[in-house]
Amino acid sequence: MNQLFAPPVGDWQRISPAYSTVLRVRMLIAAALVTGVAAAVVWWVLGWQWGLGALGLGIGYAIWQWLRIGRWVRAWGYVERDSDLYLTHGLWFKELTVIPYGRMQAVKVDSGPLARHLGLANVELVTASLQSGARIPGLPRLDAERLRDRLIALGIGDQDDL
Amino acid sequence: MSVPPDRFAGRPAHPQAWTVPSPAQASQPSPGHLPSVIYGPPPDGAPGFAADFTPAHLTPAPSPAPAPSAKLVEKPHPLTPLVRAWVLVLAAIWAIGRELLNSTDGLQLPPLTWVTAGGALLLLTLIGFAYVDWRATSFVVDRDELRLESGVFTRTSERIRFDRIQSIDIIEPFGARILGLAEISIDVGAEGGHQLRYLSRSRAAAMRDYLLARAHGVWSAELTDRVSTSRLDDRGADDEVLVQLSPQRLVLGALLSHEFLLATVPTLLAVTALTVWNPDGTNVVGENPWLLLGAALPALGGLWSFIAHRVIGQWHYAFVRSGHGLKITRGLTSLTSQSLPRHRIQSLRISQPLWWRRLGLYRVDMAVLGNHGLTTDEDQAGRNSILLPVGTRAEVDLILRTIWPGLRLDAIEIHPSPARARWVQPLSQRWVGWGLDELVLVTRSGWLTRTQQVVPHARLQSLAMLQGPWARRLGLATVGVHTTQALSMNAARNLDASAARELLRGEAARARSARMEGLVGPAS
Repeated sequence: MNQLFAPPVGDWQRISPAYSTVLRVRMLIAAALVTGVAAAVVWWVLGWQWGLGALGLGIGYAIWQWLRIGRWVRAWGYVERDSDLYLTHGLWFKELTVIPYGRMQAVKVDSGPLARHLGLANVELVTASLQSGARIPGLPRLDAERLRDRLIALGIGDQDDL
Repeated sequence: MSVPPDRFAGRPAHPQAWTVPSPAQASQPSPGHLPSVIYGPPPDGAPGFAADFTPAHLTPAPSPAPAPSAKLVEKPHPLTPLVRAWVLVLAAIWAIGRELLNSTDGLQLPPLTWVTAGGALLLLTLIGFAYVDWRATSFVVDRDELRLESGVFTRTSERIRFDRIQSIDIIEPFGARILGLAEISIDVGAEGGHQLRYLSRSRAAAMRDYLLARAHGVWSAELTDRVSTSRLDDRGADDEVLVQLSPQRLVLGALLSHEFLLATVPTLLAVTALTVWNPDGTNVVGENPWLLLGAALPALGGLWSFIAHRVIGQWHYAFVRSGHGLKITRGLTSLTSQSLPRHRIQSLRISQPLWWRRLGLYRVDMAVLGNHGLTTDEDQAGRNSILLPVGTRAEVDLILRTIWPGLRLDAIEIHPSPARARWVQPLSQRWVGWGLDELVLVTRSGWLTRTQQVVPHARLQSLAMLQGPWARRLGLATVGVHTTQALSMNAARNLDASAARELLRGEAARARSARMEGLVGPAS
């Protein structure tokens, strides 16, 4: 973490490391499907050596992603301040977003079957702008609910006109 | 029709006398005086309402003359069905005409009696339907809302609260324009909006002014017909024209725009190549001239829509200050008069295509809250993101100052990208930059078309700093500016990394304090 993307105050609050499990399972399913189909087609058309090559490529990609997902999840962070929320993520393309509470129109909490099983939830902050894109994935469910309640409480007192 | 004299007590007789029927007649539309405003009976259950809007010293002594009653009822113009049918009428005329021209021995008519009877029956039915529909439609101005009643079998009643009205446009589609009618379109911020179809031109203008006045909280009991200066635009005598575009400028701007050049130059090249090309002594086009049409046809479609939007749709453009605000009137075949809700403008984009630079011309677009379908339906809906199609620097400044008083774009110091940013933006390096004053944030980008986006601090939704691997190596970062209804990506590109972080933090603070002031003072 370089100085540019350092938190404004204190330290980043991280998302749950367990979220990487969700992403890894998702990645493995997708990779298995794509690699399987591609390898089968290549095997059929070009011969088994090429098929094995495609399989190897797919497995290599999966391993690389497996390692990368851990770092990607660790790169996520947020800080709640008095009047706004700072959010950072990304490895190659880093992003640091500032969302004022006064601009929030809704707070959404959702969680898929696997994430729910692991006790995780995603929190999405909806503003009037489509570009804001403020979504914090993979928070422990209690944290997610606490954040949601806190954001709503802060947002209500601070609602601005458009 | 007799006018009971006491009904007009205290009000000067208006030159365009409206029918003021006695309550018994109120439900009967009188074809001779249409369109008419009917002063209905005072609303039930609103005792003492008259005193609400009549100043105390004017409250009449106990006399039978009531103060102006609360309700105005406006009927659509009786020619309304014709507007919808004019395409059909044209098609029928065309079909019959073609039949007449093509047949050598005259039109083969079925027995005359059948034609007459059938035609008469059809006509009667249509007229009947039109009349019933017309009867069922009315626009009622009530104490604090406007009601649009319509439908024969399914009654629909749309209610629009005056304090929810954001802007009101007058649109004259071609068919309506021929008949001298106009449509009022009311934007309440939600998708779709509400339409009043159709009123006569002068009534529509009067209705628009009246509704806008009501939306501003000004109560007036009646519509005042306005004298429009010309059929070509929607301007009252007391309107002040701030910017007006000549057709020459509009055409020049269109001819030199990238869209036009893209549509024409490749086609011309292809056509020329086809004509010159002689593979084996025989000219391809000479053999088959239809090839030319095939090459040109795709471009022609795009060209037509471009001309429709950017020349015909912007004809007679005028930026006007009228009583309750600003409006833009434009259009050759269909006239649009768009009222401009200043406080709902989220951001502006000033752009300059390559060939306009020498001429010093600019185009200004706006992002307006609730202005859905930007640029997609410029032609029909009239709602339009173009604030100024092609204007000089002075005109741009005038419009900016009118919309956001106190804005001086020239005075804002632009911070250019550091020299090393040349590696990521070789072509736009000299233009890209950002600047700010206490009111707005300005960002510049683009190389072929140079654009400047202007966003007031108070309109900012959120901010994001971005840095890719290449920019990280160069020590650069980009700050994205998020607004509602963005015209295109708005960002201060490729700043020095520490400056980017400084901008991010400073801008978040400025946006916050600007919003706080906005809550106290009027939103500018």
